[in-house]
Amino acid sequence: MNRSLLRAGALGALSFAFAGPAFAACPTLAGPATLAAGAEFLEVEGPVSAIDTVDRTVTVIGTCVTIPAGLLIDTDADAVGDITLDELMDPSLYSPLGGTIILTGVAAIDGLGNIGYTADSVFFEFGEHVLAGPLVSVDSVAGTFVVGTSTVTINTDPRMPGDILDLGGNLISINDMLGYEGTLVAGEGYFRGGIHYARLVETEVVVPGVGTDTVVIERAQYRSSKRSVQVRGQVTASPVDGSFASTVSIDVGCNGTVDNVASTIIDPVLGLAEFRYQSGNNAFATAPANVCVTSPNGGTATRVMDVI
Amino acid sequence: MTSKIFTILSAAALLAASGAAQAACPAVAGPATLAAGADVLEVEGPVSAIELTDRTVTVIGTCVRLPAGLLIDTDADDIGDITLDQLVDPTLYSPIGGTIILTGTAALDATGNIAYTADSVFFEFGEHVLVGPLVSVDATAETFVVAGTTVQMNTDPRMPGELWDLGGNTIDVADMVGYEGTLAAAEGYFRSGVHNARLVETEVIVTTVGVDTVAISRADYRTSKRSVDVRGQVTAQTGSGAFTGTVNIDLSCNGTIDNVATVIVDPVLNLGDFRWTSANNVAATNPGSVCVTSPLGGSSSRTFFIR
Repeated sequence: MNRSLLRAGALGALSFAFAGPAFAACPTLAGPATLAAGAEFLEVEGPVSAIDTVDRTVTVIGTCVTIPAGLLIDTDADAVGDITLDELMDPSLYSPLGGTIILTGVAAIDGLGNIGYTADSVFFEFGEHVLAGPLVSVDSVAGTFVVGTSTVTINTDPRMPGDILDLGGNLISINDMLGYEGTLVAGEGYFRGGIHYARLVETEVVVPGVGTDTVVIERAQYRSSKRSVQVRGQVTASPVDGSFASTVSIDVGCNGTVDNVASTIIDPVLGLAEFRYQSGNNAFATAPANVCVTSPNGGTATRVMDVI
Repeated sequence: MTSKIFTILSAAALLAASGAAQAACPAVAGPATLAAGADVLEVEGPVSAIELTDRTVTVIGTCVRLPAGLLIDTDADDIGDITLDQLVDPTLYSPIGGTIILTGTAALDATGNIAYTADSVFFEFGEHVLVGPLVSVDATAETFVVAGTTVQMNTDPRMPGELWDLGGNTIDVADMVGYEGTLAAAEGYFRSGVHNARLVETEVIVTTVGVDTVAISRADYRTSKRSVDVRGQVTAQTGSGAFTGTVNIDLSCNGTIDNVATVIVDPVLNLGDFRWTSANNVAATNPGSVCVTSPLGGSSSRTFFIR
């Protein structure tokens, strides 16, 4: 997306004037005589050119749509609204104008024969620029790092705060990335003014434990169709003696019961020991909330179970 | 994804050559080594510069070299379609600002700099989507309005537009007259107040005097099941207003009727619907195409889509 740098102050000039009683803030548009069955559906995807917070309308690739009072804007693609229209247009933050909206709704013809559109879902794409490549350098003072040849910073915009995750999905800071130059990094966000503002950065960082090895759970999935779980991850060498744990204990549900003792296999290239547990079908009637993995060398990790 | 803002690119905006090792890309000191698996690259975002001489593109700040001969995919089938020169044809709208999805590899050179080489480049010509009622048609101007947006068929040779009837047959804008109020879907790019469509799917059924009209809306071949799914509609016969009770379905269009499908009339749409989902293992290989014939004179064919 090409995100416009227009500030909210430009909105007045871009907004449509009132044009009729039925679909107030959108231009009047004479409709067809009738709508065929199924033709009342609307879907629009493209850059937003105008947002009117008073009349609650947005204009996307030329189509003006009313946003009903109370309808929130989804910002993380989970089909659940996250922020209000006013928050989206917060004048103290970068304008969303020029960003991509994916909108669904319905069409209706009013008593005057005009056609108007009302949204039932609005998704604003805050993270549509994707970058995956080697971590080239880290500047912990400036709070930036380079992936590919792009300079990346973690976004602080409250509409899309950024996270950096280690290999196990745990939150880390830019400082933690020092020493991991040359490893793979993936970031999604938006590119503006020569900087990629990331909302999510996934790294291969493994934050070392103090006096213990470190366990990272890369994957924790519950398959509803098979009522089974799959857990995968890595263990570092012990900082005490450099040895690798030969097994880890896997506690599905983190209830104190060890469900599996998984063997580890050392990967000499990565310098990590890998473990994996695939339960039998019907091993878990309902989705466990999380999984805990413990190493005999002291390392532990917990991860929320993804239900698929 | 996003907004395609086709700005006109001046030659001055192109990156200048800036180093011997990675000629047109800025020199970037790499890490000491690349970890296993870290030599891959994927970038998706607006392209800010394209350098033809040194064959580099810059996407959200990352400069990547395109090997000689690598074509640009424009229809998302993972097969290159146009050259880099064709993409930046100065007689057409500049791709600068449009979205590129690029994959490639990273490598460290002898001087310790890191550089990137593309192995696939997709330029998104149709990222703006519009689905809604066909509001009006201006056959003279060859434009039409879907939802609240004026649409025209694109003539850019890099992404020529296609307008389809319900059966996937090519039609003209004029054929849409009379179908106002039906659903239409258009993908393309929006520029200067007009949606320039590369593909528009409509519910238009072009009728022929004296016969009914058959439209095949779906023809799928499922490789895993070696089965076919054929669906469509039949209009009433012009003149008599009668609907056929069945249609004949001929896989491969080889003259052999493989199924006689019953037609069920939808009184709301005033169309007859037919469908045939074959049993598994009916077609060991993709039949290629299907022909559907009505006893009232209509016929249609469609290429199978492999799923």
